[in-house]
Amino acid sequence: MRHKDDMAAILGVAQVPMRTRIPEMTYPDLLATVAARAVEDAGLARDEIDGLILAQAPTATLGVDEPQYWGIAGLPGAHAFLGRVHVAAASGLSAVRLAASYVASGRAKRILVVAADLADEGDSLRGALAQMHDPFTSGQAPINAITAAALQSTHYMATHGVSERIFASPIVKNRLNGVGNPYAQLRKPVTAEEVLDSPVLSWPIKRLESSPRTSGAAAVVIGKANSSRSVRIEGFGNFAGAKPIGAEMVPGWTSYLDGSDVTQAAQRAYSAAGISNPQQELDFAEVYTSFSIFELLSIEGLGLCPKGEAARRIDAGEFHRGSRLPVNATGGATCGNPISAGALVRIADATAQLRGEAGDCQVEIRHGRAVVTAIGGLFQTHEVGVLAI
Amino acid sequence: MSGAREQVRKDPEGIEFVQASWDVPQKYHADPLLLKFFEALKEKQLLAARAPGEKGRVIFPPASFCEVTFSAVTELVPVGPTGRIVTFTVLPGTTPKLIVFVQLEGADTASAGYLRGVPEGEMTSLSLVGAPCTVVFADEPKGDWSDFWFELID
Amino acid sequence: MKAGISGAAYTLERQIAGGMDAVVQDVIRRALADAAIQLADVDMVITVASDALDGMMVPVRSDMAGGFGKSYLNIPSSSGHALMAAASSIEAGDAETVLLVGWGAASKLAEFDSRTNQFDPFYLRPLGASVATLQAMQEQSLIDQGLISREDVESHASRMSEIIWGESEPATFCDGAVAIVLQQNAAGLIFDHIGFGSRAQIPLDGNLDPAIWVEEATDKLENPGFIEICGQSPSLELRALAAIPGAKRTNAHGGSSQGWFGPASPLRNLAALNAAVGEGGPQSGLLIDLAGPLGQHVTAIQFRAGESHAA
Repeated sequence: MRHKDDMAAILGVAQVPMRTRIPEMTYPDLLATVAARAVEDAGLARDEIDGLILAQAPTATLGVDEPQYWGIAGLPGAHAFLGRVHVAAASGLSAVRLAASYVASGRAKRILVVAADLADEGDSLRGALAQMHDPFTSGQAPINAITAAALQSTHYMATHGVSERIFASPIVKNRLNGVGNPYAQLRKPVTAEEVLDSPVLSWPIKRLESSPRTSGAAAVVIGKANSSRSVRIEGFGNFAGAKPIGAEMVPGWTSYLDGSDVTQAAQRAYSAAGISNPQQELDFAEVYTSFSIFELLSIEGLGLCPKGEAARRIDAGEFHRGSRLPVNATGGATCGNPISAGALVRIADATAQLRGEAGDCQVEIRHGRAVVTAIGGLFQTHEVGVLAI
Repeated sequence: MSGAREQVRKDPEGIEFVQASWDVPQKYHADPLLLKFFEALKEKQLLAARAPGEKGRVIFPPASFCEVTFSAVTELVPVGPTGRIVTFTVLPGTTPKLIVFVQLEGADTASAGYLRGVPEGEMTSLSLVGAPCTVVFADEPKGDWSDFWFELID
Repeated sequence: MKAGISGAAYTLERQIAGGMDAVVQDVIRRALADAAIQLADVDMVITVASDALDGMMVPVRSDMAGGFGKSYLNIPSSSGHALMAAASSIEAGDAETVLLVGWGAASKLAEFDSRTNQFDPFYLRPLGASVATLQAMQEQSLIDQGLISREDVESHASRMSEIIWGESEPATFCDGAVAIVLQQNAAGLIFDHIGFGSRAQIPLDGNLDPAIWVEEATDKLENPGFIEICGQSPSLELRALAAIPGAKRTNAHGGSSQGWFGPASPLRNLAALNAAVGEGGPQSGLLIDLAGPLGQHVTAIQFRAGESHAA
């Protein structure tokens, strides 16, 4: 495990309130807004930033190819651009992982990682999401993010002998948490019945079990710790699995169905961070929940409870904001999911929590350690990060 | 600018948008083993690719490489027609569609398709997971995905 | 301990018939063989490729590039960025053996140049900006300033094309794939220092002269005997070469303006340099990647031959 003093740390964070549309800002406006705030939050001057990384998932909704050429003008660190990281919805965490490597290697001192999404600049996500499919083996049946998550959900139900009602549990919890989060897009609670009665997208997934379309932006400054508010990055783990379509779905090895892909990424992160008992060593988790099934698989994959138990334990009060190990105390992606910026929002939220600056969402910090996750593509790439203060 | 059409539209909230589209034409090339697979469908045959070596995976639908061992794959072997349903989902609508992932006999992978012949009221039954099924071919297969579907074996 | 190249391979053709998958997998196998390792020895895969060229999102194809089960990153902005990422990951101890894979079928750009959508939609595109117009603007401004002449540009393009294709007819887009294995204690080229810098699409200072950008990026690097400069246009390459006087040999592998297949193009030059180092090729020098249509993202890599090649 890397020595504390050699670790990269999160020095500053910023995000904007997430909404369906942010028509008064262009893409560069959003980037500049969060960039400036994050640098200020880090207690730094603009010219102290010596590296810039843009996290940007597919750009079809933006209508601009390789937006770094256009979007980074005027940003702190633009003179020292280190690249665009594109790992679909995991881009933010992958970019932070890269920034941490830069800082730990000594090649850069203070890196700004930034991302923004304008979700309504494309009429629908379909064009963007269509880029995930092999045009030859996706003709068998319409496999997309929703049907793929539905296939996972059905398998989970059959494996653990549970009903579709369990998928309401993480949603009710997260939507209630979103009420206290001024950055969340959805800030009204919902009941389990409302969730289960919402239209079926692809059985068993109901509309309210999936995240909304969201515009947003976030920025993070990474460097060596410079104050008591710095949050150390103790370890990252990444695991690239295979496509769940056509030939690549392999029962028995298929980490996609049983969540062991999350476990692989988590094990790499825990190993780097020196965590042997996550249930006892972590204060909270901010996991990627664009679909309810992801929260269940992530909680279990992170080793926070035995397989098949997550929903029951949520119903029993575990993982809620006031519990011993809250999951998505800010509401997470359930309450707003900007694709490129989402993973940076996890970092911003987790940082605020660890610092004790999370306002109405604040959870109890005993160990000063947390875990964040991201999932990219059609659930291929998994990022897990361990943060500590 | 070729491939783009632009027009200005006013939004109900009074915000002006420039409507444009970005069509990037693509020519996709099919994996050569997949082309053989489509040909074989015309003969009502199901072919999978067998990766080299003793423990070579049998990949369906066939692909020219095994991503686990990263070996090139050239051998084609028959699989199915029976198999087991690994998981499923149902697309709602006036005619709901049952999408299944089936592991065919002899294959190490599961693959997507439609399950037909299940009454609407029974489409969301978990007993489908693990249920045995079989490939059923259209009378005159054309060499594409519409040539076959799955049906439960009683 | 610096990172360096343990093995590399590439394929470059004017137009590759059929899909890129098999070509990419082939260069990966050859690079692994060149490094005398198995894919199982790789713990991180980094890809450099454009979504628009592929038509499919590159990160969901990570398995095609050897990424299954590995730690994975996709950095489509430039080869230089990806090389820096690989070097940093190794030096930070976050990876031991990195497989860097780049590819592109840019020959299709001759039919439809998707790079037009790289320009901002509010000012440049409505003005009719395209890669061709902006590169022409850059070239003209350099000519107007007396920094290059059109004859020199054409002559450079012919020379580069001769090196790459064996014929002097200038070429632009082509198809290619490259794979490079990076480790510490590498036997091939070691990356001593990497300088970098970037400018906005239309630089705020109004300067389009790449020599200034290259001077900045190479500020802390030693004056090399050899330089390989890679840019998307011949005028860009030609002018950038002028930024480093004193180079005794340049572009032994033709740069990339005449063999451009996407952001990964300079990786081909790097692979070629690595292969040549044991065969009388330059034992040290600078590889400069000028990424973006106007070359505004500059990465300058100072390399030298690894231990096994040291004289």
